[in-house]
Amino acid sequence: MAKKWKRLEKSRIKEFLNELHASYEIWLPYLEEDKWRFKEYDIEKEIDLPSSFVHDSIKRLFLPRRKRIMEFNKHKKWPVVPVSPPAANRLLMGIHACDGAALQYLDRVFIDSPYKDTFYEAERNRTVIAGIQCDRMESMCHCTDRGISPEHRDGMDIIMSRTKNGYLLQAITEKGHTILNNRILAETDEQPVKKEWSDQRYPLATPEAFLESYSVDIWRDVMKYCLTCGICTFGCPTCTCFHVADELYKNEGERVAVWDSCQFRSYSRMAAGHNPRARTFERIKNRIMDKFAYSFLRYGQISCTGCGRCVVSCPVKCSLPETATLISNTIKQKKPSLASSDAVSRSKPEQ
Amino acid sequence: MTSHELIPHPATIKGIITESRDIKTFILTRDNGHELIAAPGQFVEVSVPGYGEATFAITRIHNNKKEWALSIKRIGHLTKMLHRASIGDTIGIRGPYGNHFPIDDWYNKSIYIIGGGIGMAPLRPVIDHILSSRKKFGPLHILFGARTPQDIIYKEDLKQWQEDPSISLVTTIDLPHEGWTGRIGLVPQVIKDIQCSPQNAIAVLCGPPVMIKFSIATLYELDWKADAMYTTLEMKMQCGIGQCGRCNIGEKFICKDGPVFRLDHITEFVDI
Repeated sequence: MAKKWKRLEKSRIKEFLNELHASYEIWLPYLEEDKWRFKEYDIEKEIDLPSSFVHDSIKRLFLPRRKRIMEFNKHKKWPVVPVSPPAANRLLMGIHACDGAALQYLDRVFIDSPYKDTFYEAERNRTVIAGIQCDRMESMCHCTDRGISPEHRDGMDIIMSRTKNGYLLQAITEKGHTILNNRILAETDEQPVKKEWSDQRYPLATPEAFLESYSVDIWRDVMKYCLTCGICTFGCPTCTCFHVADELYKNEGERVAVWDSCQFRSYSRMAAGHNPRARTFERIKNRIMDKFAYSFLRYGQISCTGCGRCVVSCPVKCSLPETATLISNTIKQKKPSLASSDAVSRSKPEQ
Repeated sequence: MTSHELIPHPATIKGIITESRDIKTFILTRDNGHELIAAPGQFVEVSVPGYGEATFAITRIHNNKKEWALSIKRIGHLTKMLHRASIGDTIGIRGPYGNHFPIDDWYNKSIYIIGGGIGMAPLRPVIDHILSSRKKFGPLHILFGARTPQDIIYKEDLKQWQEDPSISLVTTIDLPHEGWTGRIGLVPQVIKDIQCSPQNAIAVLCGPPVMIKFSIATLYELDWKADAMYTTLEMKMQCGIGQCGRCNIGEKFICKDGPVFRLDHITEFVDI
């Protein structure tokens, strides 16, 4: 028998959130100037969770654009004061499958590491994720080509589904149960409507095939109009690169980790001037290879969840997924059979 | 709650050796008195709060393991500040990080240490290690290239290595220079001149990218195989722990999976 769902009437959603607000910081997407963005819960505002694409990824709620690591004073002998991570409970509501899967990827980078990021871990531990199934896929959405579907629940504590006059909710984890244990929610026999989802919008070659493409002569010709502005990396929920900088004002300073982009020329430029990826196509190639091959070798998961934000945000309409598909097709044409064993065995470097 | 990995810990400068016009070696010790457990090839992150942080190869671990050395070339903001530091100053340290040279796999082999300029820094602990258990290894060849005689570092060590009958040392400079009696020529040329033999041998290289590139090409010409060549690579690194992203070569992060690589493990992604 299918697991039971709980029902939340649309008319009672604020009552439900107001109760939770006493013990949780709440974040959810609000529509402002035609764009869905995650904001802190506002009692005054109407709530209508997004049925599809959200412009804002949840990355910044776990990896802030500017993360303070420590404070210092230039004149003290050893001046470093570590910054404590936030601890208040937090509920994130209205997250789609693409961002849920992205969180799992971020966990692999920052938690499943011998050098855990304690800030990221604290943000994860304090947060309950209430995801919502999408009602439709927009033209740039392609999670289904990345092994995810709009009904996916990975990375979530609660899953929600829209019905006529409200939402159906189901707890996935203990954290989720705590939230849903509320008299405002009534158990129901109603089940979310199953939908068919299209795929093959931006199909991909395997990570192994991408590795084989490293020396194939197509890279110079892709994304020729790319400005290397980096907006696709900032919008991407699985782009994790950061830059560590000291900000000094008079004698007081902070060390911060700020978002960085592999598309910037300065990203890999060394102090003496040598830049291993000085040319634009080299940086694009590294980014695409990293998304669809290297990340798979490192973490067993490619770092693209098909959210489509890179497509929407690009100022010159250079579509990254379209390019990845183009390259995938070129590799397939060039090399019908690809040896995969070598490529995979390289994932474990000999020490 | 454990401290964030990016927080540096204090270390005090115990000694400063001026190696050349732009390279100084700093002898450091941790303020908490702990030993530095590190293997040849590993690096640390050095901070001067307000001026940033960068990675530097450990160039010597002194016998008590409480003091270790970093050779730092003055090149950017941070290194300029470090060059202004005096004995007794406190700086920040994190690490050690990265992998190390698998020296214990090289017993009974001839070892060629090929270094260019500051590239000698991560190679010196390899030499130290071999000399400390000399009988376990075959002949030791050291080839050290520098731009000019003024750029030659580790002069005290060179003197000792020169006098050691178990070491064949070759030093070379790029262009003729008054008073210089050693070899003249770029490192790859000297590799050819002295005919580095691949017979039961290991080559360990570090230096500027162009030196590494052509040295490896020359070694291939001399019939060397990629699995007998090791290099310690450099890319811009920041976090040192495989998270900030910028130091990747293929799927590998130099800071975490390197900086030491056997050549056959990386050739695909490096144009060498």
